[in-house]
Amino acid sequence: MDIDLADCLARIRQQDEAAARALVEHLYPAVSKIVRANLPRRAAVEDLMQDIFLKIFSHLDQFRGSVPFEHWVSRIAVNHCINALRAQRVRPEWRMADLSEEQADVIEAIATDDTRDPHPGEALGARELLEKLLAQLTPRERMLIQLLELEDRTIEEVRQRTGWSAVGVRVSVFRARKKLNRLYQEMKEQGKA
Amino acid sequence: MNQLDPELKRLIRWARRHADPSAAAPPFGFAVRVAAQARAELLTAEPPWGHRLRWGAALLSLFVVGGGLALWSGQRAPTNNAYNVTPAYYLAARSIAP
Repeated sequence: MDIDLADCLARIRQQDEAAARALVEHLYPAVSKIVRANLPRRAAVEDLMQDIFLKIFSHLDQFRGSVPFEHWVSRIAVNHCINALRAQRVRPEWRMADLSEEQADVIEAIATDDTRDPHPGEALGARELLEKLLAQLTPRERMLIQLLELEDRTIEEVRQRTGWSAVGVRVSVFRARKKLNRLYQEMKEQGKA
Repeated sequence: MNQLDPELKRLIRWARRHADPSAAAPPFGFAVRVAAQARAELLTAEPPWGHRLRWGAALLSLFVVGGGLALWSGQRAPTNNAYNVTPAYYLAARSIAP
């Protein structure tokens, strides 16, 4: 949905409810993507989305236009998700016994040098498996792996969308990849045992 | 930069094949609900000058109370001179040396 952003923001500042609705519809796909990729356990997507949109509206006066509006919104969504993930504190313990048959098959399949494309069931199994691994990372590391590895974004894009420094992103992603490699090896070892 | 294990890369490639569950459009009524709530919160929220007004009122109250106290203590302070240090000394001074 295309909107005239400057006009829409001006109307929202004059408390135009129709403009606020148009903005929500315009931003929904981008915010939804961030929320669904970084959803804390037991949290409802719509509740989190609603909180993020209310935060956007309440901070609208602070938007100075120094960064594109979508990036500013993305930073609010990212920080809100990270805070929600931090608030859940306890990360789930990973155990081989928790894996479904489909997920165990995926581990076996990717261990062989297989270049074939997965069928939908395997893709879902891989996604769930990756989710279990990502759940062991810190919220910041998880966010970085999501953006860089799953969404194929560049360091510069990540920096713009999160507001974090490029050096900080590089250091955190180095740690995240190292940790993810270790977790994957542990998972494989447990699978063999 | 540190690289991912090739198997882990394959896992990520497979995971990406899973359809992105993010919705393209908000569920029915979501935008209306959020817009109405945002408007209600903006109406009940303190205006930008509210913070300054609150501090101004606090400082003014402090000034009024402080000024009142200073005035009151000024009125109660004894006027010290050589003849009214004590009533007895004052009486003696008047009787002995008129």
